[in-house]
Amino acid sequence: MFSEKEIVEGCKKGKKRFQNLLYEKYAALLLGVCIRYIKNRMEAEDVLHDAFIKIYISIKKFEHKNEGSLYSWAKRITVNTALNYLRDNLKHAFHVDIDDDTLSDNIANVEEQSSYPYIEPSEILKIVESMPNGYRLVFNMFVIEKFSHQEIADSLGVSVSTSKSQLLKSKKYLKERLSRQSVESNSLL
Amino acid sequence: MSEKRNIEDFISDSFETFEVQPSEMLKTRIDRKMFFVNLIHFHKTKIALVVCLICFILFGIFYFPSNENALKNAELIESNNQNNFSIAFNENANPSKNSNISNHKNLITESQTENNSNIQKEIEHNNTLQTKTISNQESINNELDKVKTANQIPVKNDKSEEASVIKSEQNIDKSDSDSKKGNLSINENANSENYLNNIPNPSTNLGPSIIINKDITAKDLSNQHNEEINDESQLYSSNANNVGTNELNTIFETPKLSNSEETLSIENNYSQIYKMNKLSGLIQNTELKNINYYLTGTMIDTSFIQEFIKKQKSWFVDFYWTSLTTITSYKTENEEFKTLAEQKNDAFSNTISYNSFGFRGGFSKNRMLFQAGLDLINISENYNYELILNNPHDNLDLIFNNNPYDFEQDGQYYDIDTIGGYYHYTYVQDSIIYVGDSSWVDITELNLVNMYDSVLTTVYDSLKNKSYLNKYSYFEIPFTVGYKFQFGNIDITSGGGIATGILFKKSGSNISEDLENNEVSIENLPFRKISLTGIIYMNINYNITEKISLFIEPTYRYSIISSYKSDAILQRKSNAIMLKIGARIKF
Repeated sequence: MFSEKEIVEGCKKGKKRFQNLLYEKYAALLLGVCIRYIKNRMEAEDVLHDAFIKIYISIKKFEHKNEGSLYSWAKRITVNTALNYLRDNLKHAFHVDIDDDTLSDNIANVEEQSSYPYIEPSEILKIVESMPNGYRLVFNMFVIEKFSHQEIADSLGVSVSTSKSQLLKSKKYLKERLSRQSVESNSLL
Repeated sequence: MSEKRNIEDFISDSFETFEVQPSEMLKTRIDRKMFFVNLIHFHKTKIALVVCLICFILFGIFYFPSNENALKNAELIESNNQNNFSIAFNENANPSKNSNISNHKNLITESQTENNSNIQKEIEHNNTLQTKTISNQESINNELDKVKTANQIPVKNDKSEEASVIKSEQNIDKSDSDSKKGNLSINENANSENYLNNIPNPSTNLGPSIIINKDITAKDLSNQHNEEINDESQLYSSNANNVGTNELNTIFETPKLSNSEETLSIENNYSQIYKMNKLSGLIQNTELKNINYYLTGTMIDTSFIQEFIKKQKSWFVDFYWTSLTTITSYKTENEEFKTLAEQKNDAFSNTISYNSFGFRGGFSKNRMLFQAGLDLINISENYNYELILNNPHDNLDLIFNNNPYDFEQDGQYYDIDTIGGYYHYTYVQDSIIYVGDSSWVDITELNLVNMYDSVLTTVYDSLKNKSYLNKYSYFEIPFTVGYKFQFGNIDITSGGGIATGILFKKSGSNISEDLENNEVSIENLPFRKISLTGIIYMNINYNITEKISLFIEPTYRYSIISSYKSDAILQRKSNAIMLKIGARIKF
């Protein structure tokens, strides 16, 4: 079993064996990342394909610091590749649902903590996928990838306020959907 | 059971280990793509080596066959000499000369059948240019009847003239009007063997030979060529182009009768032979394979051509000893390490190595030399560092007496005065250099001074006047191409090439390349195992005998790729000036 550092060193030398190890270790996780951004499975695999090529090529510049840093770095490349893909293929994806005045009234409700039943990630994925593109992108980047609003704004070419409003809307949307899911689950029980 | 959680955490936790297994096809696609990407991004050196080798081999392959043409042609001429038929130009001609005039019977065209239809038209158009006399009437009549029957070509056959000759001019355009009497040959048959069988051998029969010069119509094919030939070798030609029963026609040329003044003295005249050599190449290069050439009345013994060509072609082996001095330079794109690179460049000093040697084999063709061999290259480098500040570490043990700028240590009182400007806080104590960073302390910001600026002290060990001798040993395989100039017994060859090497041994110490300047063995430095070096040389070779010579060879070699691995922080290139002294044995 090779350590992450050994895999990095092997990939830096262009050794096929270590590239395969890297793929086997992270391909499924990274495809999960792609799927969150791109609904279509085939398109997500295309993005992952491009992301892996970038990873293999640019790993020469990667400096391994600690265990886990490779995945973080690879995930970042994958997210950027997915965003580039969306930018090229969904030109209007980022320009939806600009600030809604009525939203502010509901912010407090959104920020409340609620209790959620256990839901399979695949079910959550369906809910996330059902969100409008703008919601989904901002939510993914902010909540899961831990981007700041400034970074999201820079990446998507929108304003910071737009990023914030999209996030709030997405949260509200998700909360509603999850609540509904919860009610449905309880009624079935 | 559920717990109250923020929706962000809930979603984030749900997706933390979310996996989707990719399809097998994706892996295949990535592998396919990476095959080329790996080659380009990770194996550039190997590709460069392979490309260089292929270029070298291709150059050899394309170069040698083109020069083999001359030899082949010479061999062809000689073989024809052995099988040829001689033509007596007149009854007084010197038979010994005539016997040397060769006929390239093998050059009778094979491709003319394709052009028969066109040639027939031209023959019909130009049939007035044809004919004339024959001596061996019966055989000629038979031949002509065949031609007439097969091609329906009207041929004049003036039987009244006897032993006369149609001699077409070297310029085919004039051939109809400038006919002369002379010996004739017939060229009626589809192949030269039949032709030869039908022709009386002039060497045994000095009676009139026969030519049926039936066709001068290949002028559009051969005019330009004939001009070249006339310029080159003063050829006289006449073309006979017959369409035989096999729809094959033949052009052949007869030489003009030579006179003594024009006769070349070929025994030792290589320049003329070389001219012949060029001519042979011309013949080879032209598509008019059905044309035979003769030097003007010159009896060329092709053995001279072969001798000349052989003289230009030889194998040899060199054994040599080499002394060299290197010029090594370091550079980096990383700003943080530029000081280190400069420090190493400043410390480097030239050293001459005397213990390299090698051998190589080579092939000389005309003036080109191709060489490959095996070298053992020992390189020595000397590094002299005046001062090395290494092993940096922070010293936080300074004792302050409640004043950031006044403190006491080891019984000594330090008063750091920052008033009047900033103070670069460096002092030496117990051979240790202390560098305190108070550079941003300014009089106008006296109240804002952060005491930690003065407290944090970087301590270095100081090493003065350190010298390191580093040695590297490479096995190298050089490939070179050169061009030779000859001045009497001295050959001067200049050329270039590449050498690929394997670093099999290195020894010595140097400072580390991680900004800590620690003394480390060079075994730990990121050297490549493979080297790729360009070579430019000038070989001065003195021929002692025909077989043995001595040479001296100044060479400049430069690193095409860095001696360090591509992912190393520093890049290192080592150029060298070499002097080879050795002996050459020719075969």
